[in-house]
Amino acid sequence: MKKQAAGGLAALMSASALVVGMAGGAHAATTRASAGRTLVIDNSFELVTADPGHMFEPTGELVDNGLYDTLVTFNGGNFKQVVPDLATSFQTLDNAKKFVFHLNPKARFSDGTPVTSADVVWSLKRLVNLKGNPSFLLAGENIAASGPETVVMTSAAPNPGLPYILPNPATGVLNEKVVKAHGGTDAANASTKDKAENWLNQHSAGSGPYVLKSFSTTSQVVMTANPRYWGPKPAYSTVVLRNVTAAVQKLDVQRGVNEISVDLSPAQVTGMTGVQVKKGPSPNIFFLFANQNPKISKVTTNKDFELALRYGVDYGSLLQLAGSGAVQTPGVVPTVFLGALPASEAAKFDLKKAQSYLAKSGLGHPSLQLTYPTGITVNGVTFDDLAARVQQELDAVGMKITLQPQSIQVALQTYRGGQEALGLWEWGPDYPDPSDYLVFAPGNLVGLRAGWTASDAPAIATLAKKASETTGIAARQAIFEKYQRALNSYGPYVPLIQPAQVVVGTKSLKNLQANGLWFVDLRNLG
Amino acid sequence: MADAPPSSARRARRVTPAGLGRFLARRLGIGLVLVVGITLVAFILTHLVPGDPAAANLGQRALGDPAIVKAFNHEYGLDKPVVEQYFIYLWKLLHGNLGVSEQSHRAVITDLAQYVPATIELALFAIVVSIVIGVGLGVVAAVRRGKPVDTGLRIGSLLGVSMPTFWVALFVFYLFFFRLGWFPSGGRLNPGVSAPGHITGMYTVDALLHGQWSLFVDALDHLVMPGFVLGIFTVGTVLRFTRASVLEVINLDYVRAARAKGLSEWTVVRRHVMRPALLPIATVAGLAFGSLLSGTVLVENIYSWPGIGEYAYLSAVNLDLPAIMGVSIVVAIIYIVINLLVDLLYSILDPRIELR
Amino acid sequence: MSLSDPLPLDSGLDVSAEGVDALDRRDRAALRPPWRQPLALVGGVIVLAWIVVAIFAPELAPHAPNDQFATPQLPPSHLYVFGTDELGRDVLSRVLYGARLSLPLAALLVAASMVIGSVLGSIAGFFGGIVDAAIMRVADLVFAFPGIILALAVAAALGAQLRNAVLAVIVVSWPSYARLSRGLVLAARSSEYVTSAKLLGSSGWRTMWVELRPNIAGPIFVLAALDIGNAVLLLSGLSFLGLGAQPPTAEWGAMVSEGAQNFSSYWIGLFPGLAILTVVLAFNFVGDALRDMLDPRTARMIRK
Repeated sequence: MKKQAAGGLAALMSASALVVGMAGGAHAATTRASAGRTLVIDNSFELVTADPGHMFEPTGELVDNGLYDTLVTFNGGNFKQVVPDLATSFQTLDNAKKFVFHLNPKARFSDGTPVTSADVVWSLKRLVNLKGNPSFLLAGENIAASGPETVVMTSAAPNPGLPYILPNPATGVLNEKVVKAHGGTDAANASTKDKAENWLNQHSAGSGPYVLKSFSTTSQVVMTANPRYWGPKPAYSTVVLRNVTAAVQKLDVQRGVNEISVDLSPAQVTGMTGVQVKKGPSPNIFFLFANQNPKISKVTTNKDFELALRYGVDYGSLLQLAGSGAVQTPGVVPTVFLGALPASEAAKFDLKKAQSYLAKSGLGHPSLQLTYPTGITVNGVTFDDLAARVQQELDAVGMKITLQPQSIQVALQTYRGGQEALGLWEWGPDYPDPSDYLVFAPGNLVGLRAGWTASDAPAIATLAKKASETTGIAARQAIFEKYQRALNSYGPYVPLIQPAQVVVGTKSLKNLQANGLWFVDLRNLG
Repeated sequence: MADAPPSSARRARRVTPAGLGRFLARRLGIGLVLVVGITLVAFILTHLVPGDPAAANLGQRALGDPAIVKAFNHEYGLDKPVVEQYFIYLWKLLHGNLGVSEQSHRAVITDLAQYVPATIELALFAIVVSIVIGVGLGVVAAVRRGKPVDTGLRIGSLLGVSMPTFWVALFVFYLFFFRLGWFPSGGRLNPGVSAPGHITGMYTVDALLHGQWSLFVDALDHLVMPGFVLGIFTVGTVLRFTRASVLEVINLDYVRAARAKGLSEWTVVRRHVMRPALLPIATVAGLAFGSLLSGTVLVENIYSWPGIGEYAYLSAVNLDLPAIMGVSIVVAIIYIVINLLVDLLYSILDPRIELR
Repeated sequence: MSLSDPLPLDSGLDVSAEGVDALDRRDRAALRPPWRQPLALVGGVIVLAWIVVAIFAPELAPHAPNDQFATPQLPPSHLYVFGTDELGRDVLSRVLYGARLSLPLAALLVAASMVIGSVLGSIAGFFGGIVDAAIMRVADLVFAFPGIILALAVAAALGAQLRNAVLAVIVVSWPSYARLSRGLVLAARSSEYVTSAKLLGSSGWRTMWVELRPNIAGPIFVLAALDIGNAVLLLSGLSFLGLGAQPPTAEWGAMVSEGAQNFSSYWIGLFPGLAILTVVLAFNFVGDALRDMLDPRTARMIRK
């Protein structure tokens, strides 16, 4: 972090100031456009809807990032700093309880009408009132317009993470008039009264560089260049997103029938030639937890057992399984986000230590079930493979682990109910800000799933509360590090790895980057 | 479906319109009862589910918010007693409303309208493949019965029904797409190509009806690999049926007489054996069509074919109750209709058969 | 995927007596006992070989099936005859151990569907009336679904586990036996020995057990022999889709699915697939020969 980042967000604003005037500054990278170019991207679809108000799936983020503009966004793979999109700048006021966004007057929807503060307010209110998957993103925010080009968001509690939430394409801004005409509403009862989703799955009503041409959740999504885009001309006249399994994606890109494959694992790209392979750590983390509720297990609540667990996992072997590009996650916050612990603080594998802690625990050779969702793949790593490897390693320590694979629905139920003694799970970021990881605090969402209540660890609960209210980049970095050290020392979690985010593309592509949020940034590609 | 003693025990007159009407009424009645039975079975099955549809369709954060879970359960009627849910379902079904899919957020009927034609197209292609190959080879096997060719074909047909569909699909895919590059990897059309205007929903047929030749070639190109793989598994069955039914006729008196006239064996087969032998083939083809619908689940999965098999799979995995119910009902109706058609066809081809 | 749904019995496929007599003499070769038919012999030997493998897998396999000891994705070599998989497990060992799962399960579920189906079918055929109607309507219900879609629904509803996949396959397969045994019982019921047993005061159940059972057992067993192959296919298909055996279980269908993740390491999926193929083919060879021994009308009832 640079010096001038005194107020943290002030840095963002000065960065914003630099690009003001360059229309759509964030995506200025590629201006040269050749007519009639088609971009084919293969993705194993996780797609439900193109309606930003309902969208909360990886493929949906890729699509909506192309169709809709948000107030602020990220440039390329840098998630530590937001850059302007519809808002040229914003101010953080009142200890992060109030944000003021200044809209770019040049912004136009695909029908040529200007993007106004009314559209923004309407879209964001609709998002909240739809009570869908992404509604929590802006829960508790009071959203209002103050003049045609100013939006004010206020909340009762400080929300320093808000700027990092807003790049989520779910907060994409819709053309109020058009969507209303097709049944959209932002009223409090929108969850039952809004009928616009079907229409938004056939058409788009945004201000992004592309418009929706056809949409299927199972076969393909086709987008075409928005002829009235207010920023630099999109690089492709057509973007086709196809639903293809990872194994086939590999063959496709090798045969050159597509331009980009986004779901390959590091193992699958090993030895591939004639293509560009871009890797980076994914922001998804795998972790083990040991339930703290004595009613669930007498073993996992044992402090020495937990230490044996922490030292008994061979992280190097897990990384080998995940392939090159994967990294061990030192705390619950992924290494690519603000607030991450330095790699030097990651737990170290030490079999002897693990065995001695297990001996000290007085549990002998405890028998345990390791529960995990089966058939789920995160960045090419399946829970099944990871669990099998962990089982083998803990067996060496002297723990008798039986694998308990469950379908995601069943597993999620026992997980939510806090009934799993030992669980292997993953957390994907809802938004790239450390505040998303306060769910791991005692008494919070994930904490309770691990049977860990606020009264079990009041000091950490207090620390988490304080972290949620702290503003300023440096101060946040410090307090989130402290929070994670506390979790690592006293918490029920063993953070394992962040798999590698891999993207493979043909040689001719420019600005190809692996993007942990929306696979590839359509706005940057050339 | 019917449970009569073998038909040869009865001798029947020609099909009369009144008889046909009675037959259709009876069969449609049975079909209706079956469909209601299937809604019940599907409903019980989907409510045995230990998982929670909300958990399957909401994100982790949304699940933490009781208001969102409540809104979800309310939207899909999951907050009502199970029995009430069933009758609400039946009531809506009567109005042609199959509910809204939890995974696609669309009306199930809209989803089905899109996926069913894709699968029918695939299954029709496969059935044509298996009839052309199966009947041809079956006649050869019958004429050359007992010879090495016959034995070879017998082994071949057993091999055909013994191969795991998914494994063959992978192998064919690897060879003909990746190694040889003869066919596209999956989907129904090349990327970015728009589907022909909707008439039947079968792209090859629609493209022809619109006179879009290149689109037809594109669609056919995508159909070949999955179609052949699917067809392989019925070739063996059709072959053996053909062989058996040709053998039944080949030594009847009139055929012997024809042969005595000095006609060559192949001519005899062509003129006198094929027509009666086609009867059972029609039946097996009809029924094979039904079993092809099973095969599609595995084949569509591998060839990214957006059909009802893949939809059934995804609905089952995502506990998308309305979709599972919809698929079950539609597939059962297809089955019942095909059985009916087979029986009708049969009575037309062979007047001795009485419709019951 | 073979046709798992029998034809309606009145579809006219029965052969008239003269047709049978007129069968070409050469075709009678097929009526030799199975041990004199090369195909059946080959099938029998392969089945036996797989049974031996299943029993002695721990002795035969060079490694434990779930031991992740080697470099992942090594091609077949003298060290690892079938190569290693994506976790560095020995594919040969996993294929051998897979027999311990697939064979007993296939036998188990065929036995279960056979018992359930033939008991229900015999009851339906023997007692007729409302019992018959009730049982056969349920069977019709099952026939109205393509097998795998029903199995998919059942397996998904009960949860993705091998046990549930087995249950799902049983649910799908018992009606074939019910229909066959009902037909056989109907045919036998009117025969003289049954009538005389009744006249002698034998109870319905006793008549069914003593007089009818031996007469319907043969065809039922032939159907079962033919069905084992189907059962193996259906079960491995469910595992391939992730609804049956769960990793790290060494199950053939699940292994093919792992292989599908990495086409370039063809051996991961090739060998388990071949294992399925040989087992199913062997059972079909045997079942096919057995069917030829039955009289043609019965053979038609067991269509394939």
